[in-house]
Amino acid sequence: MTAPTAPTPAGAPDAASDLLLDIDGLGVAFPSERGPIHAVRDVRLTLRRGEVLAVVGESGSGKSVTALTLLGLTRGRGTAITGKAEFDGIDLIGASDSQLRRIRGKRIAMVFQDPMSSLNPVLRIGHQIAEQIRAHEGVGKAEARKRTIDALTEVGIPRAAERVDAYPHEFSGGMRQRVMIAMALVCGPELLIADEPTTALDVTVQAQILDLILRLRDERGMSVMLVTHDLGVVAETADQVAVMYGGRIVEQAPCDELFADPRHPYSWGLIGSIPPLTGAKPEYLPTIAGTPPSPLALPAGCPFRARCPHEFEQCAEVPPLAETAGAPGHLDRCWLPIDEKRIRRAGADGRIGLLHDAEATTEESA
Amino acid sequence: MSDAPLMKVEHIRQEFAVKDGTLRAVDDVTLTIDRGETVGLVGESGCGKSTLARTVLRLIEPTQGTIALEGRDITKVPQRELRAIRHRMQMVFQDPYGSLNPRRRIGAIVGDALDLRGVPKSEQRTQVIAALERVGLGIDHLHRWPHELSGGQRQRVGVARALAASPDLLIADEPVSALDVSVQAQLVNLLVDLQRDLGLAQLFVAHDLSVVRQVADRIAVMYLGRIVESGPTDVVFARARHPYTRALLAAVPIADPSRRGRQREAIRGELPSPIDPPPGCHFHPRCPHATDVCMTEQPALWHYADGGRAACHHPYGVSAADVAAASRDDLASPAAAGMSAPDPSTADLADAGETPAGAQA
Amino acid sequence: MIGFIIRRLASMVLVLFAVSVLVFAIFNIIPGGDPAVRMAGKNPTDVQIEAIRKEWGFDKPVTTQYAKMIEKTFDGQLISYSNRENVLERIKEGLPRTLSLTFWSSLFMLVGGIALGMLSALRPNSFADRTINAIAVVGISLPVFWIGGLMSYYLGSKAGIIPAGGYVSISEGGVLDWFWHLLAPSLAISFLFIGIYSRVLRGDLLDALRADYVRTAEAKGLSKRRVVVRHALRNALIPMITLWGLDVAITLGGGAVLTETVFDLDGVGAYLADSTRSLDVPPVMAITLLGAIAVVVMNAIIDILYAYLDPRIRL
Repeated sequence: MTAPTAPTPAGAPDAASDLLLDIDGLGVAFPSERGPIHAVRDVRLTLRRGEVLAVVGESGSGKSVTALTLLGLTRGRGTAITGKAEFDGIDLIGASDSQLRRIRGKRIAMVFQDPMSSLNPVLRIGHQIAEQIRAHEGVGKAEARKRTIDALTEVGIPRAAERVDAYPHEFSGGMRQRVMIAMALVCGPELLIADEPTTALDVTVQAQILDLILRLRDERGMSVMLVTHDLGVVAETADQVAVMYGGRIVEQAPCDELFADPRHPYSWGLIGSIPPLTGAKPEYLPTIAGTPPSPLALPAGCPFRARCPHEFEQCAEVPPLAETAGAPGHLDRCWLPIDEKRIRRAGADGRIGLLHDAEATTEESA
Repeated sequence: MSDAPLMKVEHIRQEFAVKDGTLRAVDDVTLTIDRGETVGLVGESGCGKSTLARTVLRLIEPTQGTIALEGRDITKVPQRELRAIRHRMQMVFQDPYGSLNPRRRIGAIVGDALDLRGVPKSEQRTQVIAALERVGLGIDHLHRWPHELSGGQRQRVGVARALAASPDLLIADEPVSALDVSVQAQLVNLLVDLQRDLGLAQLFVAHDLSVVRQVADRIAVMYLGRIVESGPTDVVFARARHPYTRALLAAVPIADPSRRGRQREAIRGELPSPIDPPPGCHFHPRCPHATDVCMTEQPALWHYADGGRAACHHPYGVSAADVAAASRDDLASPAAAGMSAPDPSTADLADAGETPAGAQA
Repeated sequence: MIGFIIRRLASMVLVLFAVSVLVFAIFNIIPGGDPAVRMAGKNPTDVQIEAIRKEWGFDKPVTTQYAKMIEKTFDGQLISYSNRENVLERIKEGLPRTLSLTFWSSLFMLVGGIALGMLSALRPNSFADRTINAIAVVGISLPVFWIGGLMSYYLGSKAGIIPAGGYVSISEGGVLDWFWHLLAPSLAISFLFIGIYSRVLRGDLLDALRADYVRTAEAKGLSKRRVVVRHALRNALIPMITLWGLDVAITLGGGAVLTETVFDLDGVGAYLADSTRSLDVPPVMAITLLGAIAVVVMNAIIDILYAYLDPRIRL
């Protein structure tokens, strides 16, 4: 077994100074009556300045726990957090609560999935944003309010000077998420963590919000860690992608690479199970059998074993997250040889997928 | 068996009294579902698609309009009699957690419909097992509790419960949107199978256009209570005529990074309040092609030769000949009488032939 | 707001009518309820009783009697059957005592409930939480007259730490003495409610601390104190405040019958107890109506407070 090498950005001589987030060997285990639940294991991720990193996975994959852990939001009695997570040289795992508090909302900000429940229903939105400014910077109320209005204007809220005194329920879902983003960005963070920021929104609003996040990234050179289950969203926004399953990263690659040449069977399954919006319509969608495992009942060895049709003896051992020769920065956690993968992932119609139905044919090939 | 479609709802209007006035959730909608056909009903939250689905089942009584099952008007049939035909129309709900009674075993949940149909107890077990097997579950699930199952399995139970009633029409309200991506595909395949193998007609309500494309023969697009476009799925996806349909298609993220730079006509602004919708075409404040007529006159639903229908004054890809060959849907409102025809001259403002999503017929 | 006030006034009229009819009916139905017989003394002649009947109007139809009594109540002319004193004058004497008791007890309930509830919720299942839970259960199960009796006897009469009972007004003994006499009875009433409130608040605060908006507040880098007080507590307080408002109204309306009696406070509650014992309808009627008014008014205040705490609620 060769030790996997960290993904280094190709052709970037000053990569080290560019590095904003450096996670290595991160593990998070929650206590339970039946022993520790390993929600996240051995996660290694890097994020450079100005880059969008998408972390993809289904429920229980550990993607949200990873994101929350960076801000210390999974800390609690009995939670075991191990490994390294450095933000601009600051150790986020070892930092004290008060050290973390100074980083939260100031240098690393977070946007959550449901903008209705994530805003306090009984406080005016202006107050909720201003209190964050005042928590981090010694500014007066008037100054904080002015900056709040500016932030609301920047994210595209019309009549911000009036709307600043409104309550969350007086906004639509999309506008609420804009408020959340204004709140996240008001202190000029270097890293924005967005946990399923558009999942609760309609598709037209989702497009607006994703455009907004990308525009702000471009204007500010901010890094974005986008946690999502939606490969469509990933394809539209990400520079780098990490696919998580059962608490581990199973594949990691530049965005184009992942979609063009996915290496892990789980990635095949994810890509295949999206019904295409254009082109030929498959009679049946390639699927992944079974359901995502609960972190309580993960199989030994490769976490995906139980659902993988390509499983063999070696899968009883956890494969390393390793780079395949010839593809720098593209890592995956699967024992299958690369040639084998390329043959097995394609169905009769040439589409990538995990489980192709035997009788699958294309409807419009005629 | 009559020639009448399996289900036909006509001029359905559904109004709710709310604090600030009247909310017209469904506004003069006509929709037919043929035997064995899957109709996809799409639109954003608040467009009235779920309300319409519930009205079809008469879970909500329509304010106006008629509901006809195989040509028989069931709008006024008393609830007691309705029970006798209700097993023919079954519903699958969005939330696989909330829609199963947590205190009953799977077998009992699925078996309910059999009581309704008057199947003798001795035959029920076999039929329940058959229904479970039909959805990919089995005899070992018979005595399980809902909480012991995963979300996808529960949704399968929901489908099995509906199937046990041996319905002709399945009404599925966002049946896959609460599920994990990998499980969604399984359910989608199952629903496609049911249509294919059992000839089960479906009204499939969803906001996810790519899922709808996969399952539906025809689709109808709703915006603020009205159907703005409908037609065979291929026609609508390849040659969307209504700017709203185009905007919806353009907004769907595509899992292909190489298409990231494609031109997207982003829809402007927010969904207006359904309590006080904009006059004329509801979509005009957000429409890139809106003109004066759009602000004052509600466009009629025009039927084009390829089976597509669109309610738009300036539809995409429509020539003068197309308009001449088209016919108009009759609207219940008297205002519809003097409605103008679609304007072919302004139709080809942009890439008229191809939908933003880039589908080719 | 005007609509709200009109609605509330209408409901008050309705409640007062219902309550007064009920009280009147009960005292007319129960055996031995005929006031003329009792007023006539030990061995009355029929003539005497008849004379009293005539004088007090007991010979009139019940509806007329009821109307008369309501009229007198609001005129301030209501006279007690048993000792012929003016009922409202007597209530006015007792009211400052009851008000004082309500003031301190409601303060104790609120502060005690919030403090213990927060302590429990911030360290769930800790030693402190379990201890508070145990005390709350004890507090809820102990009858107030028993706890009050014990306090009055052991701390008061026996140990002499606190006064065993009685009431001293501010003008008589100053604020300190006033408070000192009310301490034990207020605590006796509060025990039960502190127990209930701390459990209610614990549950709601735990829910609030798990809420998404609290996670957002933490992610913003706010101090722990601000997260708990500003974001969690404010939302969690709403159900507790509702209970509190009603309990205050009940105490105010003479509900602290037992406590006032045990501690010899001679307030409205004690008057209610005495009058009920002697089947003296007029004071019972007046005090019950007072209680009903207090409940309705407190309800309205709670609703206004609600609207302030939660802007989604419109009056």
